[in-house]
Amino acid sequence: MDLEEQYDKIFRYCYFKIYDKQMAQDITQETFLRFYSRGLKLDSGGNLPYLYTIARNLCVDEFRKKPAACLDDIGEEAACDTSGEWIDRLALRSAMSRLPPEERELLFLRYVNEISVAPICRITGISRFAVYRRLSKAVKHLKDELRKEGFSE
Amino acid sequence: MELVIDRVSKQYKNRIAVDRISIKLRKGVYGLLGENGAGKTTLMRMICGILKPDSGTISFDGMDVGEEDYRAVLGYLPQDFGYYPEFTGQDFLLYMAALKGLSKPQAKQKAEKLLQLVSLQDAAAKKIKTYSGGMKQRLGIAQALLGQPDLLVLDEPTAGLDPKERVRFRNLIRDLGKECIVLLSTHIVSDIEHIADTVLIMKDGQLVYQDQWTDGRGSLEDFYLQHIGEDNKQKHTFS
Amino acid sequence: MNRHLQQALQKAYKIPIPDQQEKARFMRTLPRSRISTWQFILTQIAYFRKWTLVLSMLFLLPALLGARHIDPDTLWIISSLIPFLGLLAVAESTRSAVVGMQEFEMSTRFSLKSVILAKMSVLGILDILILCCLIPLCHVSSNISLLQTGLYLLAPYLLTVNISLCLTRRLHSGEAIYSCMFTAVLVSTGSWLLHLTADFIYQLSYLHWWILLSVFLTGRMMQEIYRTVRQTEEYV
Repeated sequence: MDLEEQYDKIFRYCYFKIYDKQMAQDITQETFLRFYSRGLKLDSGGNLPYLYTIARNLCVDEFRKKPAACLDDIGEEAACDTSGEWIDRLALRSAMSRLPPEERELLFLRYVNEISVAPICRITGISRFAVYRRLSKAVKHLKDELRKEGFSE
Repeated sequence: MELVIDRVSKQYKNRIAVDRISIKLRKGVYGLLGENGAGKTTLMRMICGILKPDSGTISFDGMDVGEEDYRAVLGYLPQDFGYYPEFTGQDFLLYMAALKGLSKPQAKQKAEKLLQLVSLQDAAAKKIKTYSGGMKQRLGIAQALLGQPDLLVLDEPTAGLDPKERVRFRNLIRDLGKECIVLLSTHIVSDIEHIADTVLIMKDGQLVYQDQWTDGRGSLEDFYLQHIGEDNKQKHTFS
Repeated sequence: MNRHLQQALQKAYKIPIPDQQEKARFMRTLPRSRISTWQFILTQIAYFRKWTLVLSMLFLLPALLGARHIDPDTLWIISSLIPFLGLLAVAESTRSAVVGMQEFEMSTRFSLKSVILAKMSVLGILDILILCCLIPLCHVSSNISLLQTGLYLLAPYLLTVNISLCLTRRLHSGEAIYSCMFTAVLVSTGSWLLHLTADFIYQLSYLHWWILLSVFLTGRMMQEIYRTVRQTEEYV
């Protein structure tokens, strides 16, 4: 298990919940510290769900403290993106934001952070069957939203 | 992060190789200069826990050099080395990773990353006996970096590297010096001139000079020659 | 979900870490996972040369062939071949010094000392097991006592191991291997010749000499092992 890669993924996960880069980095580090303080190891990936659970709980705590800061700050991105891709990215994120939070979370964990289904079951606490079902529903939902914006697959 | 060397001495038969050396090293790049026989390699091997000092102590953040935990934060590139002939570059790194106590999955990742860092990823699957001298040296440097050492000891690391490789190596060392203690010994003064924060000069087993070196101070070569005595000038070739 | 959409999603959510240096600094503070001593020993076994293990196992062939194929001569054949078992063990244990890998192995967490001890222990145990299989087998087919059988197999083995360890300690290169091979051949031929020409030595009246010899060689072997391991601590 590549620790550096996991750091990046957890950071990404946290940022897109609280939209504060510095805070996201702090939470990421706190997540790892708490994970290790329990005596756990990340060697084989069996303990990955714990990492995400810790991160998610910390984000929820943070969100409760500052609920206002949930604006997707695309200004910075647009400024440094020369290819104009940021419009597509914004559209995609915007479509995702119109999904219910649980569906968005599932899509993020499965397809953005590329976590396999078994750990997702443990992170979200729902059964394998339910995960598959909700995932396919979420994907369909996302495609519908994208079609509404005029994007084809 | 501090390496404390306290009154360390080593004697061989009738010759004193290292004579009561005391230094404290912190994060940064330290260049160790000295002629052959000045005791550089002996001192470095004592720092690596390979030789036992006759007197004095060496410790890193409170850990004595003999402890396993000390060796766990150490990366060493020796001056002369061999290898098991059947090893490929990658085999070698994986084997060394095992010796350093890394688990197999960790070892694989680290090996890949380091091979890229020293630009050996294309030759990784080839046997080491097909490597050029410079490639072997780069592999040795990669091995020293396994296990993310806090203390990096490099004995003549730039020997056999061509000028382009040497420049890349200097940049690498400069970056590493921001994170850990790097001690490198070399005959090539220009290497030290450009990357060392502190210069240490050894002569006859003693530390005759230890101070920071900044770019504006003129030629390190001249300074070095001054320190070890003009009459020794003929013995040296500098590149 | 198709690949195109997934890639687009990943791109959409790609965000750079604000402070890479901070990340690097933090990553260094995390505990590094360590393998246990047992896992280390297993790793070393995995790195044994294949033919060391294969050839050592060949010594078990008589056992596999079964007692029916064993005749009285088997004891003497095995007795003259056993030096090579010792050679394999020593050659594999001290390989690092011979190829120059010891330079790297000396400064690692599991240092050269551990490497050599681990290898010697594993191969030593393997050889003891092999001998434990061979001794009763040879005893059954020959008409001499178990003790004698054991001694006649043990002595050449111990002699070879003793001399080989001493040689690898003093000669640190490819020369060491050739000298050890030569030693094994010498002990082997000597053993066979002794059986052919001076058979009386193997009679009961000389038993106490064999006991003394084996005890002496075992003591010396312990000493040689100790010296070899000590040397790993001071490789100049």
